[in-house]
Amino acid sequence: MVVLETSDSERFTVDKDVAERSVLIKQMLDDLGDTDNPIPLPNVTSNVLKKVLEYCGHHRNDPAPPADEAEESRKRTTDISEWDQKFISVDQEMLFEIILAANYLDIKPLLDVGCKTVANMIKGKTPEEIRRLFNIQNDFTPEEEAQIRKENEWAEDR
Amino acid sequence: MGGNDEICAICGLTPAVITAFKQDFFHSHKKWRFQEHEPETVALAEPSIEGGPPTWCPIDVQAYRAFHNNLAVVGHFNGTSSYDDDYSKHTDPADWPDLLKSEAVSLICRLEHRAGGPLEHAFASKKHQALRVPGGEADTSSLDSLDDANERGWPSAQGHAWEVQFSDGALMVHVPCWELLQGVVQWRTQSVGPTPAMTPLRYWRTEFLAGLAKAKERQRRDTAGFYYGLRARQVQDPSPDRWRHFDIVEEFVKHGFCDAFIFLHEATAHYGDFEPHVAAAINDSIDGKGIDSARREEVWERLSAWVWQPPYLFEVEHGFTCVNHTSLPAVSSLSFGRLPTEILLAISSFLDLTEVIALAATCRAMAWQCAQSLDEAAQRKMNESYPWMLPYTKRERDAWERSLVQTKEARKNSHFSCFVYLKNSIRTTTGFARNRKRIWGLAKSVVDMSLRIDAEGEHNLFRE
Repeated sequence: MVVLETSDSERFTVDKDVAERSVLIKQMLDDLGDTDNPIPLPNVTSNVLKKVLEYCGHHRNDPAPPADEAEESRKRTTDISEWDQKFISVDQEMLFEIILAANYLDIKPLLDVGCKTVANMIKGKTPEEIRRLFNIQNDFTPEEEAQIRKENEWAEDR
Repeated sequence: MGGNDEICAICGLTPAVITAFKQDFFHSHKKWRFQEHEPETVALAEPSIEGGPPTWCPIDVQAYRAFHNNLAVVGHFNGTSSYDDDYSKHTDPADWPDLLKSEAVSLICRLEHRAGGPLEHAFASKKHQALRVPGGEADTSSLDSLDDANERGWPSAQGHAWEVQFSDGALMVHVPCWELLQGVVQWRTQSVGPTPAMTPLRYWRTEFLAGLAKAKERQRRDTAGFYYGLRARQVQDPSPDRWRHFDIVEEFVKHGFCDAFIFLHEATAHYGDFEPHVAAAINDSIDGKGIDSARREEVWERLSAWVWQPPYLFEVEHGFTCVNHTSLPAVSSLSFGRLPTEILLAISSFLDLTEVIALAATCRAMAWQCAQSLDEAAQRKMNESYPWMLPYTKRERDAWERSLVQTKEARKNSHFSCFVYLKNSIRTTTGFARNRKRIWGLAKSVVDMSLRIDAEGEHNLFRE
């Protein structure tokens, strides 16, 4: 078993194979050897780590992704498993927190699930729709906006 | 001259204004004359049909010689001894296995003209300036070895330095076109599946079979929709030497591409004010520098002629403007906006170029953060939809890097170089993009034809 300590000082005791879905934690365990001391995760809060561990627990027996899978999966943007889709159905703030945690803990499959989800939210939307989706304030002047639109016409329908 | 013009068997354009072997050829035909009247200048002349004074076209001799290093011959070569065979005689398929498995088919680069002598010696190369790439299946050098050879110096490359002789069935190609042919193989391997290396033997075999069969498959269609038909052609008189020519069948294409330089040359007589442009265009072209887009356009508008443009010049328009990103503005979205650039990059990797553009157009912060994403999305887009825009060989990669560096400098360290390059290439209907796309399409036709021969057997070519 491994003990993980979050930024808000909460401790989680988990199976080693679950924790080692994180490349960061696996490397730390390799460096430290067997230890009872908690592994500090200063960049992850407890509510986020709870979700991350849920993901790692479900995927604990998954084989390591092949080297070229990243390129292949990129072509299948909507290809997210049913369980993963349900798992990632969270509010935007939690979604971004999970992505940041997956990036920090170096859990590539979880990072991909999070990024694909955000990408799917963006797909097919206009700049204005994306602004509304993520509450982005348009700080371009009307002239700049017109210029951008004109300069990017070439990419439409390609 | 146009109809008898040797052309690059890949791109369909004449390999040079006057190639080395033509000097012999024309000398024997008493039609063209070649004159050196100053150490650094060469003049070419075509006698007037009406008996008037010839039209002289001065060409920089250094550039002229340098251009020869950009030519190559693919064919049967037999070391230092003469090899005199006429492949058109081999109409019996029973003869083919020996022909098509010959270890002597080679790509020979860096030709140097040896003045005088009989025609078959025209391609004799000096020991330190020739590279022979073996064409046999078991001993074929990859294009990378050519790259290495460039770095190490040609004389030591592969230990192959040959005095070569020209054979009847040889094909002449531009080295840059040959490299682009290798690029097609690389691209196809990455995006479609394993593709056999286009060795000199494989290339020669493909062209030989298709040409011998007068197969319709010999007709090539480039990505712009132009058809090219190459056919074998024999010049009977007055030279006793057998000389295989390749001629563009379609008149429109022929006049558009093959005769470009002839048009240019003639233009000196018909358009007096145009002469400086023509001379500069010829010199730039044979020098491998590429031709200024304004001059290319002028040649196109006035002569309906394209000039040969080295396909490894990756032109990027520096005049492109966009919103100024020099200062990082305040983040305007608490959640999405605070994602670090690396995360945004990861998200963008699942988006198409148009979607990244839409994201970048939401606010200043996104425009700034998406700069690298736009570049990467543009590169993916090129790989998927515009593979001819990307570099493949070392020479191309070097040219690509130089172009990107220039663009970054011109754009004050912006990350937009690939994006701008793609944008410029798509919007541009003339010049580099059109030229490279055309040659890519033709090279791809060669690869497709070779794969078809593999799949269906060479005898199927003769069914029609």
